[in-house]
Order: sequence, then C-alpha cells, then structure tokens
Amino acid sequence: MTKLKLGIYWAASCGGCDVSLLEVDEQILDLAAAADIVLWPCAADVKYDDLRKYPDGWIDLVLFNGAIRTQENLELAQLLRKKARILVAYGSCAHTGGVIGLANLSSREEIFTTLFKDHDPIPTEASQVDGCNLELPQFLNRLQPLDAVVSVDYYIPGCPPPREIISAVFEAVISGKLPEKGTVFASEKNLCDECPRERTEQPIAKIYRPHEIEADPEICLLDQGLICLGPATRGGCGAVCPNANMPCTGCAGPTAGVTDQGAAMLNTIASLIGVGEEGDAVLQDEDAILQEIEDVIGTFYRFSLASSGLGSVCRE
Amino acid sequence: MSKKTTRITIDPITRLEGHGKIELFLDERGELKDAFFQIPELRGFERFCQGRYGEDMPQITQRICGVCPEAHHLASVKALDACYGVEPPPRARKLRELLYNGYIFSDHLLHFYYLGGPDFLLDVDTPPQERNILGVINKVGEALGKEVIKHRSYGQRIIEAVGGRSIHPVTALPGGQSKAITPEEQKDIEAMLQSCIAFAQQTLEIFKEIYLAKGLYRNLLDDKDHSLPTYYMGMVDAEGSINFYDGRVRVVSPDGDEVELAKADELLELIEERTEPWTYVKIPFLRKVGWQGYTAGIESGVYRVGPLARLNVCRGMGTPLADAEYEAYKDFFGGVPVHATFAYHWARLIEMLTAAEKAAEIIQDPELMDGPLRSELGKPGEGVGVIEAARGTLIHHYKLDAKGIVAGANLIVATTHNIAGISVSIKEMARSVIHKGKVDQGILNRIEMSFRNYDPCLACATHALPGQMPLVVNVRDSSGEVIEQIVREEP
Repeated sequence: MTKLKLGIYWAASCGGCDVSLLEVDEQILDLAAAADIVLWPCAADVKYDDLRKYPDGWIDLVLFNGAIRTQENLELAQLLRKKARILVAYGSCAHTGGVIGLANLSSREEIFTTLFKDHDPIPTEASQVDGCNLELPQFLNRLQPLDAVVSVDYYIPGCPPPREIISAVFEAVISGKLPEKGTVFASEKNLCDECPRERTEQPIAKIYRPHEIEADPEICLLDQGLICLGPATRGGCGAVCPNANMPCTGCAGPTAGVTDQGAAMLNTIASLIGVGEEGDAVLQDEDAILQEIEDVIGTFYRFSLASSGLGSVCRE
Repeated sequence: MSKKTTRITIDPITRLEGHGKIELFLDERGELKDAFFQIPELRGFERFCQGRYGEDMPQITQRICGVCPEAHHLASVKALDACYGVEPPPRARKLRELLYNGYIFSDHLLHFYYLGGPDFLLDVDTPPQERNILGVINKVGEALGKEVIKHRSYGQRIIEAVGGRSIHPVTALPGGQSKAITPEEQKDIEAMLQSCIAFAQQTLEIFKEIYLAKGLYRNLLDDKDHSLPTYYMGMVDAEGSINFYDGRVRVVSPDGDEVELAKADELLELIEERTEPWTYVKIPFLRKVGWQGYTAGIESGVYRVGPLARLNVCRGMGTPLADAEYEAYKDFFGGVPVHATFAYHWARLIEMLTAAEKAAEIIQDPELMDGPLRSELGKPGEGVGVIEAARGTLIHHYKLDAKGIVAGANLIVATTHNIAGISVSIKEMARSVIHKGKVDQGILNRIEMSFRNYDPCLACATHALPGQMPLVVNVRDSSGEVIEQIVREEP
C-alpha cells in the first residue's frame, strides 16, 4: 500500500495544535507507519520554495492550524489549498479565528501603537541596514479563519483539539475511511450534553465572575450564575473545563447549524435571567443584571469573533 | 558568480516560537558581512488583552504559546495575585508547583530526545533524513523509545490532573485554584514521579556516555567560538537554589558577580526594550549596562536566560540527586558561570531531574491534599508576575481598573530575552563556518544547531515524527537573483 502523504502547517498560532498531535502517545507511531510527513515546518526543515515545487494535489491531507494574520499566512493558505487533496482546518484559530481573533477589535494602527509606542524605528515591510535589504510580511488589517480565504474540506475544532478527537481522526486517516466533506470532527450536540453537572433550572438572579465565588462542583455553572458557554458550544471534549470547576469558554465553536456562537449564547443567557414573575420593574432588574457584563466580546466571542457577524464587520 | 554582496536566505527557520528566518550577507571575499535573525510574525496580545476581564488572562495569554502554556497560565495568575494583593493558600500554591514541575520535566524531556538530541545522539555522519526521533529510536532501541513517549506522557498527565487539561490548563484563578487533585490521582502521580526521577537519571547517563565522549558535541562544547560571555538571569529562592515557580530574580555578570537581586515588581526596571525595523520582536537588554549591539562581554547589555543561565545564577538545585549532578557539571567546567552555549543541553537535563525530584517532594506534602483552595481577594490594582519558563524568565505585568478589567498588559517572554543572544550565536556560527562563499549541508546544520541550544519555543513539541524535509538554501546576489541553491534531499 502506498503511504499517505500528510502535511501539517501552522499559520498564526501558538504551537498548541502541533503539541496536541503528540497527546495520542504511542498512536503517533501508528500514524508514522501509515503516513509520510511531507510538510511540518515546525518539526522538520522545509523551505517554502520546496513546497511550491510539489505538484498540485500531491499532498493527500493537510492539517492546517492557525489563523490568517499576515500576508505570508494568506499566501501559504492559498498555496496549500493547491497542493492538498484534502485541506483540514485544525483547531480554533483555523476554524473560527481563535483567541487571537480578538485582535479584530482593533485596527492594525491601534495594535502597532500599543506595541511600539515610544519606539523608533518600528517594524516595516522593507528596510535596509548597511546596504543589506530586509523584508517582513505585511501585518493584515484583520484576522480571518482559514475558510474565509480558501475552501476547507473538514474542521477539527478545539483549542487545542482534544485527544479523543485527534485519535478518531488518526484512525479515519489510517483506515482511509474519511467522512463526507464539510464534516466537523466533534459531537453534533452541545457541551451540556456531556457535562455531568446537575441542572437545577434556577433562573439567574446575579451573574458572578469565576474569581468571585467558589463554584459548587456538582451543580450546573450557569445555575450558579457563572457564564458557561456550554449551551452554545459544540461538544466532543467531554466537558473538560466544567469538570475542572471552570466554565466552558467556547473553544470548540458554535453548535451544528449555528454560525454566531456569541449571539446564540447571549440569547441563552437572556432567557435564563429571572428575578420575578413579570412587570416593568422585573424587566429593568433583569436588564441591569445583563448590563453588569462588562466584557461582552471577550466572554461570548472569546474564540469566534473573527468568524462571527461581528468579526466580519470589524474595521472594514 | 557576482563579486558583490551575496545574500543567503533560510526561510523558514524551523523550531522557533513564531515563524523565523535568517538572512546572511557575505562580502566580496565570501566572508560573513552580517547576519539577521528575523521574526516575521505578530499577533498583538498586548493590545487585545486590554478590555478583558483580569481573571480571564491566565487562559487568554497562554495562547501566546501552546508549547509552554503552563508558564503563561501561572505567570499570569501570579500577576493577578499581585494585582489583587493576595497570596494563594498553601494548598493552591502546592498544586501550582506540582503542575509546574511536571511541565518543566515534560518540556525538557521533549527537547532532549525529539529536538536537540538527534543532532548528537546519532553519529556525526548520519544523513539528515535520519536525524530525527525515529533515527534516535533506531539507535537506542524501541524499548527506550517507548519509555521516552511514556515519560513525556507522565508529565502531561500531571499537568492535566492539576490543570484540568494537558495543553492550555484552566484551573488557576487569582487567589488560588478552582480544583484540587483526588487521593487516587495523588497515588498515581507519586508512582509516575518515581519513574520520572529514574528516567531523568538514565537520560543524564546517556548524555555523559554519548555527548561527553569525543565527537561533534564535545568539539562544539569546547570551541571558543561558541562561548559567549554574557550576563545571565534566573530565579532563585531564599537559599539561592533554583526555583521555577517563585523567588527573586538574580542577574550575574559575565564574571559571575551578582549585579541584581530583584523582586518581581523591580524586575521591569532592569530591562529596556529596543526595536528594529526588520523584526516584529522587541529586543530586551539590561538598562544599566546599555545596548552596544549584538555582542557579548561585560560592556554589553545582552543577557541570556534559560537552563544555562539558571545554572549560572543559582547556588544549587535544591534537591539531592540534581545537586550531585550540578557539582559534576561545575567540576567539568571549572565552576560557573559557564559561557559555552552548547552547555544549554546539559543544564537542561539537570533541571529535568530536579523538576522530577521537586514534584516528588510536593506530591507527598500533606498541605497538597488539605485546606482551602482560595484566598480572599483585595481590591484590583497593578501587579507583576514572574516565573521561570522552560526557556527562561517570563514576566507578565497588568494594570487592572476598579472593576478588575485589564487597562494595560506588558509581557516579556523567555525566548524574547534570548533574541539578542541567539542572534550573536547565529552570527558567530555563520562567521566560523562560512568561508570563501562556500555553503553546504554541514554548514546548514551547524547554523541550525546554534539556535537549537536555546530551545526556541515551539520546537520542543514538534520533532516527533519522521519525514525530515528537504531544506533549500538559496544563495542570491544583492539584487535578489538566485545564484546558487543548496538542497538537502527528502528521504
């Protein structure tokens, strides 16, 4: 049997996705037996010029992690789309923009001002030192997830993707039994479906931040007034954060069929808040509870701003 | 071939925190004129951290680096502890230290076997396509190979038990931790750690047998071209022993004299950052000494962090087995400070052993299993958190407003401190190996080794699979035209 050609690439990312591939422990040896790694810049030494020489469609499968932040990220995404038979958006940044999509709240100029104020010179795309010409890729005005710039065949969500899902993907790759295109490798249900906490169906009378209370480890975090994104987030991780007594922050992205995770969660929260039966005073009180949420974007769009309705209008 | 300036580009440089590239410029005689180590990547954390809830920072900032998220997670929460004027209760502190030593063990192990190791564990003439972890397993045997995977996994399981997840943990909150470990987990981890200590000792024996014997590593270790007398920075406890989690930051001069002993909130005063038009990374240097360019010596504010630096600033490791190894290390070099850049590899293994020993002490500590997990917080304000990441001193500095929202964030990460040192090492290596414009396979690998000493971030995680890629170096004339191409073949 011909061995598969597997490529792994990272654009604007933290490297956690690359590490996550090692979390399957000895199964990595099975993958190595079934597939030749023909691209993994952070593990093996490749020059972009070599990649350009591969025939189009030559790489069977590319796991692409990281978002599109610089011109270089964009060009590599386009190049890999051409070289890959199957292109997979791997991890939150490629899937929905990830945490670093929060940078879309600011323009490039604002980001540069924050980072390099009081500094001279500032990094520029072309510079010269003693007759030596040096270049940097352009920092784009806006961060985008992978499918905003090229077509994507599969999605593997999570920051990083959980071990069980990676293991399932490896099995599918090794056996050659890949599901239908467009599949998101995760649960079709939301996170609450796999969370062992007990729902008390108590309306929320006050919203707490995680450092303000010690959460009861048995009761639904939302019931305790903590904003847990479980209802609006795709399952598949086994509810690891709620099991660590911390709220879900939504890294696996929206549930099946939903595009705006933050809006879905805001709807859910609004429906869960309740201080009384009815009347204007009650509505005002409920409104006041919602107004207490200071960081709406960081809370509800932590991983998905760049792929949400908000993300696509920011700074355009 | 053009007689003018020749330009050699290596893009991308692999195994860095961020995408990296090296530009080498040769003069008309084909000797090195200048070298540039560029980081062509930027994400803007310091900007988008503004406006976020302070307590979310341990989870947001760890996305800077998925190779050492534990370091960011805990540096961040230590900064928040300072912002809220609170000490976590002993149980929470022990949990954090347990997680942290598990991380140091796992991270250092990965570098030795997956990344740096293949250069030296294998014979000097091993073809590049076999110079990887599979080559190592072939050489040392599958049994030891599986032990490597198993013990890396043990480190990760410790992180997961305390942090809730093995990559990007979630349990640190200002004033404490969100959860404890169970007695079953304690028992499992205790057994794992005994195995980790033995494995760290075995690894040091392998190092001494293979590395210190005559050969490539020994030559590079002894070569004066790769000795950089810089300042060193690292954290020590009250006894002067290495402490990864907490203590004071000690800075020693190239002569080994203590020049600073700083608390977290004094540390930023010691450092000044400069910019270059050709890289997105800011380059720190010691403010009092000043910037004299990319050069070592007592007059230059270039300083280094990480394992080599920590062993140069400490008085001991604080655990018995690692202390004995530290004595042997000092005897070999005739004392500290050690300036040989290739000694980073050895120092890293001694740290791997002490991390396993420290974790094994903590796991038996009664305070770990009993008592409150959280302390009451004061009012939010400003704070600095410092920790020793695997690659060096990591600083998080936040200003919180009255509602506990981030008004300002400044982060200086481990690899950043080393940028100037790495730049000098690359330049020195290139200067010593490139002559008359000749560049070949051996030269390429030497240049790679010069920064691999520092274990630049991302690298530690990733040398796991075979499939060494073809590396192509284009030699261009000054107009950018490719005049020569050196190819390292694909397997």
